Amino acid sequence: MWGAPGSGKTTFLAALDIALKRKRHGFNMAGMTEASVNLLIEMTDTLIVKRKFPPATNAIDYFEWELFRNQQQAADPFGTPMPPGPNRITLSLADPSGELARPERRTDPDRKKLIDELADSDGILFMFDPIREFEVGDAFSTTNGLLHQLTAAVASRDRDKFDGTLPQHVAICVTKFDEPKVLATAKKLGIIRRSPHDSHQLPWVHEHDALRLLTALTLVSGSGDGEMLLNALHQAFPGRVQFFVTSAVGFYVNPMTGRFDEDDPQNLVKTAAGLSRSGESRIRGALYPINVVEPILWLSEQIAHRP
Amino acid sequence: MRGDELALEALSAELAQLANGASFTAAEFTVHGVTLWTVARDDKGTPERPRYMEFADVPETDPAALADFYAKRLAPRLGRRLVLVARSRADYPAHLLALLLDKRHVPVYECQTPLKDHIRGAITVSPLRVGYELVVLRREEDGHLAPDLRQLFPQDAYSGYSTDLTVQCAPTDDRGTVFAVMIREHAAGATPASPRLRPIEIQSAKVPPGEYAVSAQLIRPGHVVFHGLPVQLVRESRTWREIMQTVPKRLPAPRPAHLVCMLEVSGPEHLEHRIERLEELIGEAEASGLQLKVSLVTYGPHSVERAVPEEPATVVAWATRSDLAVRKLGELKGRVPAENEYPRAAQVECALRLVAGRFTGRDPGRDGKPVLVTAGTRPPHPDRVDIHTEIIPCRDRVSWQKMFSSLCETFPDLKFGALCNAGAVGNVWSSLGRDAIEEVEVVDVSAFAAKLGLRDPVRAVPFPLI
Repeated sequence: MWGAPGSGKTTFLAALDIALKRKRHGFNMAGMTEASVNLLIEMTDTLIVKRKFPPATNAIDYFEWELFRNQQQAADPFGTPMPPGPNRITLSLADPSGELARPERRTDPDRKKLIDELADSDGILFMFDPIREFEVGDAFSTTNGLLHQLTAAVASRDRDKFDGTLPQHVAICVTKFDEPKVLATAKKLGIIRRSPHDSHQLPWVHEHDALRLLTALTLVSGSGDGEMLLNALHQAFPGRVQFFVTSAVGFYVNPMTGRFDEDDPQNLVKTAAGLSRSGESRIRGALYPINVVEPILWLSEQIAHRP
Repeated sequence: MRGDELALEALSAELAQLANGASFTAAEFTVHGVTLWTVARDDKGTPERPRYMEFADVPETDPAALADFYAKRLAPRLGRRLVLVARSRADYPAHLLALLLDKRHVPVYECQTPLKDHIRGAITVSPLRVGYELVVLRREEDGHLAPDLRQLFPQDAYSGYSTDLTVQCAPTDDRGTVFAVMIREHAAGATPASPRLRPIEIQSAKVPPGEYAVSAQLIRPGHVVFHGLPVQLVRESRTWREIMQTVPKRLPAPRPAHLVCMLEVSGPEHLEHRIERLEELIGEAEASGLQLKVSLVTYGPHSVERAVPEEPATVVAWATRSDLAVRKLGELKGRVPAENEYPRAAQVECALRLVAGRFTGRDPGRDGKPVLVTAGTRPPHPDRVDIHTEIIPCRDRVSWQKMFSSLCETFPDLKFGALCNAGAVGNVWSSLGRDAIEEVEVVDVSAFAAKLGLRDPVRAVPFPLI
């Protein structure tokens, strides 16, 4: 996993089990080590019971999870069509602190470890936080240095075969789709979809439209450097990039109607008084993660079918 | 019958027969000597505070000295009417008593209780010779004020007698409202329509304007206590003539006004200040003589989470008396907010809807010229998602802008005032404070009231109105 501080990497992972149980993706999830199981329980409890976000990662957390294809669900003619792909997906996930992405941490031993993890990985979940990019605009500066270091690390492994690009597949996740500004931008672009099978009528954005949203969001980057980020990722991983518009907590579903209401979509309650954006946020209602499983399934499929 | 009871009975009988302006004397023999008590009625028939004179240096045994003491010191002070002698101790100066009884034939009572207490007891139970009346002002239809009297106690009333009456206290200046207890005197020149009045007791205090159910109680002849007023009356220092000179000739009909208070009850931090300022505002409007009706609408934040109960905006009181509204305000002090109460907004929009609903279909001026004062800080919940503030929308999708515009269009005379904290944000407050906006911590309530037409020049009325 790769992303700036606060981009939602850990929350994304915490929502994975909920996403698998909320929607019929055809997979079950299991922790493969005691630590991974404990982390899974702890993070799910934080989201659902405490209705808070998991604390920020300090250095790098590792998760050993596996997804198993559920044959019974796959046979359900009324369920979501099963995506093609492997029956068993091993997730050896490294969740680094976003702080490690800062340019000033480039000589940090943990950063070196992160570069090695990324260089050795088959796929990368890249988290792009549009709200942070709007307010701070450091996505390019935090990504560019890592890309250079990752490129050097990959090149060093076999300098003769290195062609200037990186071999990993990258699922670029535009996080925080539930934020009103992101939803409003998607609505303005006319790329909001509703599934006829979804009784809650929750909005989502198809992978084909995700790049349009990301492009629109990078145009309003706080630093003006957002556009370079996309080019840098395309150049580094040519033809191996897919975009997803995601939300770990999803939108608010009115418990009275059981439906999403576009006039009242926020599932986060900001707890700071006045109009300050600082302070903790609480989760307001039930969690309906959006596009949390899909990037992982896409990555596993790409990895399974690579030459 | 014990000597004490006989002495009290004798004193009461003497007092009942005592003419106005007359007095009698009673002697008390104690171990310390002799005390002479003088009991008198003033020229209005009220028993006066008893006076006394002590003689401690009574000669013990020398007959010549004793006779000299009696003739030169005691006899001149016995007055024309010595009614009794009380012996309160066994070792009284017996020789002197014998000398006294030789000259004056009066009964002697053996008493355990000091004579002072018997005299006070006799005065206390002494019935009124003339009925007591309270000076009031009657407002004629044309606005003229005419002095009038309301009977408090009839002739022959005893102490403890009480009378209930309802009085209206009009706004006054610092000299307050005067409660003057009078008697009518049928003197030369007096007529039933224009009796000669003589004051018994004049008390005053700055009584907040309003209607009061008062109970007047006769404590003793000459002293009346008025229960049911919010302040304690004290003895008035002005002369009757000075007081009467302050009575205005006319009192215009009070102008009706309807003050609608919308109070944000969120969070405990500023609530008490808001309540106190609204209480002051109501007091200012009352003090200026308006015929005031007050409404109170409370509002806090919507519940935006599953576990937090919804507390809707509420009409706590509508077009009620100001004292009742103030009482309701007081009951809101110390409100404890719900755990996890939403901190970023409050239901201004729903409170406005309640007010508009109460006015709709009625003449909003029916209860007086309407004034809407909002005391709060937080912005309203928007009617739909607001990407700038990100405040969770109103669950009923009420728009404060629409409610405000509707009120302005429907009731052009409606005045808007806002009492907010320094942190108040959003253009909602400039709208709600269209005619007057002040910070709740530093507001000059008097000036704020004046801007909203809630304050007229005070015309002091010195007596209760009927």
